[in-house]
Amino acid sequence: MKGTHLGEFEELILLTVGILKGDAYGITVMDEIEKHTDRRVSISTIHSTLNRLEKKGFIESYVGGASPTRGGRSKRLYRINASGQQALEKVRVQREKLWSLLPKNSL
Amino acid sequence: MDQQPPKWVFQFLEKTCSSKYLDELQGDLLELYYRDLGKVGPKRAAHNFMQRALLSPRLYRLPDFFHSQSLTMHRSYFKVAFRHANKHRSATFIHFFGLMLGLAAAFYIGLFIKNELSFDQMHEKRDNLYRVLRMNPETGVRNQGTSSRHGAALKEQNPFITMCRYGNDPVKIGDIDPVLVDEFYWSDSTFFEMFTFSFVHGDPFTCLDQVNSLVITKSLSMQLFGTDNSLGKSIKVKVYDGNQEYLMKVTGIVEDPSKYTHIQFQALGSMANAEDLYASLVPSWGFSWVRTYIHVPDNRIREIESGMPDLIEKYFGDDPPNGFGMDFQAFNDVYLHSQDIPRNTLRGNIKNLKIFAAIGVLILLVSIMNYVNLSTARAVTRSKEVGIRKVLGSKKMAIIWQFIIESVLFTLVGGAAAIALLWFALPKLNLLFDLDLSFQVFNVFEWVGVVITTIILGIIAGFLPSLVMAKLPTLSNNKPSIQFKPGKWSFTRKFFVGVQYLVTLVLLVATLVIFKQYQYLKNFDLGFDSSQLLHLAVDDRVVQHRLDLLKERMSKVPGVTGVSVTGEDLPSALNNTWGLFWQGLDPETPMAIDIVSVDENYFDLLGIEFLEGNNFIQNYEIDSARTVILNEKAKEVIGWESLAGKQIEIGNRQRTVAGVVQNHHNTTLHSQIVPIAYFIFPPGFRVSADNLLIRIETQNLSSILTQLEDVWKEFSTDPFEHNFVDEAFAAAYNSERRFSSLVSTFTIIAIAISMIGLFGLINFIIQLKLKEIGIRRILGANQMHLLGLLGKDFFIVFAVSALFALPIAYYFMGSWLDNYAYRIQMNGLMIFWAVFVCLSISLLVILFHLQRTARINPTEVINRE
Repeated sequence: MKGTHLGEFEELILLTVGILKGDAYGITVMDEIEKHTDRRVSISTIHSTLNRLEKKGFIESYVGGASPTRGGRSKRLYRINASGQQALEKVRVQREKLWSLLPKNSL
Repeated sequence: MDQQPPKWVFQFLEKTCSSKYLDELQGDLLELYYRDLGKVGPKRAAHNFMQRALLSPRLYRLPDFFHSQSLTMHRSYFKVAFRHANKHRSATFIHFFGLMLGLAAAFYIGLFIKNELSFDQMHEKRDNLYRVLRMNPETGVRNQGTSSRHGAALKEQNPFITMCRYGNDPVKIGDIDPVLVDEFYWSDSTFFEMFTFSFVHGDPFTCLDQVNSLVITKSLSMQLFGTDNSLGKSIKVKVYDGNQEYLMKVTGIVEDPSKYTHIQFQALGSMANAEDLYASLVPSWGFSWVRTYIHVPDNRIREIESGMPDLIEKYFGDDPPNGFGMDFQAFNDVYLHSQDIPRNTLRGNIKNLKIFAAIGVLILLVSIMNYVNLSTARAVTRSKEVGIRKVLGSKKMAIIWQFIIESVLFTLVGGAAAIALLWFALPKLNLLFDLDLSFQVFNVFEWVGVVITTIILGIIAGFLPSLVMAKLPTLSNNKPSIQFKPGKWSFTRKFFVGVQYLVTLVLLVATLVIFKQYQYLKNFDLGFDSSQLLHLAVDDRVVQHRLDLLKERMSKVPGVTGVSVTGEDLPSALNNTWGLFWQGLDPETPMAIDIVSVDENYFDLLGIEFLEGNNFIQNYEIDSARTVILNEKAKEVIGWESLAGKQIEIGNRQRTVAGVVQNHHNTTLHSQIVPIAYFIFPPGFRVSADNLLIRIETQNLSSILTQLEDVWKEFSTDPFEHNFVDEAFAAAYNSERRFSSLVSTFTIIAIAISMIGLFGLINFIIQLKLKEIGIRRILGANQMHLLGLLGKDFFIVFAVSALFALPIAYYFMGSWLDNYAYRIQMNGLMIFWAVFVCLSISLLVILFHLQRTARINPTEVINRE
């Protein structure tokens, strides 16, 4: 495995999965990312990032929610787990610490 | 939901996405599709759908096929191969170096051959072009020189052909400061219709139509006019042989001819001028001054050949001249197949090319065998790996493939390294061999061919080792079974070593023979003293008339011991042939004799002795070519006991033989000594003397040359261009020298590869026999015993291969030597040297290893398990 480092894009996806809370699958994540960050990302990129996060152990997936608009095919839904939350927390703490160390008016 | 995306996209997704992720992907894509359908319409939606699907394959969700065990296994092959190579670094290096060297040598030879074959290829009509040669149908002797009438008659007889003649005539071009142009030709206007040259200015089809037209190369235009656009300018062209001057107009400027064509020129003048200039000579069938080429459409050359009797009948009636005939040499054969033609200056030679191709194949063979030998020898170090693979369920086929793929990879890397090596070495090699090779001669297809050949070589090289590997036993208790000895000195291995020795020996003998032949030619006793002999060409007609005065002045220069004039350079081309007739000769079979103009100093200066009779009486004005001096060969042909004072007929005139001189070589040793008649001609004839030969002392060379130049400057405005006769003779064997150095270089490479192989193999055998050697040493064996132990087999193999190699070498080199009129005899000494070199290098390799083994404490190895 690639270790448990959280990349910038991975962090965004992980947050999005958290935000969507139980309704996170490829399309919703993609829409959410586009809505909040103005980034147009292909669906397959979303898929592979989700897969990577799952392999790193930050999210869990389960199958469900087939519908006619999907041609009867089920969704793969994602849910953030404890270590995912920890990783996000850790990134946030690091960021805030760095921000606090930033001298005023230096930007 | 009536709108459906294309079906094949689903199939594509099924093929490229594993079933685990298929629902997620297809579902998401469909959902997006139906969303798009509402927003952008069915067409755009389908387009987006396809685009997303085609970009969807991701490594992690490829179907199982790609993630199968076999892929993992293949990856492990590479990993293990790399680790193994890395672990046995020195062995790998030997292995690799040998292969790389072999591939580099073969590739270089490939470049050379391709380069030779690409000669003359720029001429678009080459496949339908023929060179007309004058050929004696009885003797088969061919000559490039034809008369104007040969071409004219062919064209008249076969109106469908295009014909072009061009004849050399050195001229001086320029108004104030004329430039000597050696490569000037009078040419028919069809020249550029037949041959492909790229025009800078002017029209290829009409440029030589008018009288006084002049086509020059770009570099000559720069030299004469300082610009490459001299179109329409007029310039004076002064002809030597006719002592005539024309004001000619530049009607075309072409790029300089490539080095890789035999059609070379600096300037072309319209044939109309030559017809005016040589009006009396042009209609003669005997005036062979042009080269003739014909363009024959639609393969109708047979028609022309079968029409020859008609042509002869038409022009000569019932009484054709003896030995009249023509041969039509395919344009594509001119470069490589013209060795029989006198005064052929092209250095292409199909025989040498074939020898090279053979050497290339042999070197490849040696390096492949080397690879096979070393790989199988190293099998023992891979036996554990193969054993474990088998335990884990590897099939035999899988192991075979593993080692073939490994070998292919190894060969490809070796090939890449070889090309990289050549990339750096090419300029140096070109300098060494006086060649001009570049990678550009290969086009894309040929590069692909090179890669494919390398892969095939890899498969061939990997095949046998892979079989050996696949036969390795399944690992039972982590130790190879006793019966199996992968490193044993098997028959196959002996055979390969034997073939390597054979190739090495053959190449060594070839190198020695070629080198000796070159030395022989270079140091041949020419029958005259060529040392310290200076040659000076006098091209200017005006100076030729004052040649006696010039000679006189030059002989007074301190340090000059003798001066003579002659009509021929040394080595000579022997350009002038006259008919020879004597009392008793059958008039039906006229003989020919070469004419050389000399003076009374000539024989004395060159140190040529008289066999009978006397030298010329001084003063040609009295003599006026009535007396002649013949060479030994001419006397032999005539067959009389004594010739001095007798009358013979040369050039339809009675002449008195003054004397006969011993044979000497006017020409290079590529041709035999021919009958020669020496005359003193007054100036002003085509055969008159136009060269100075000056014998000088060894001391103060530069001061003598300066003084000679000062004298020269009083007579002529031409540059003082001189050369030494011995150097000129040596330079004539440059192509032999180059061939010799090429062959010896590749022989050294072949030997190096073989010895690298031997080195690795002996190293390996010693490893196997380490224990035996240890025990023997404890029991008191000395170095000689051990040498016997290790070397015995090698020497048996060597002896057997020598038995085969020497007759092969003898046969091939014998037929190569047959090309030379003057050649060495192969002797036992050469064979002895070849054997000696090969044997002593092998011995050194074995001794080197023994020395290393001797340093190991025997007790250490005996305990080793």
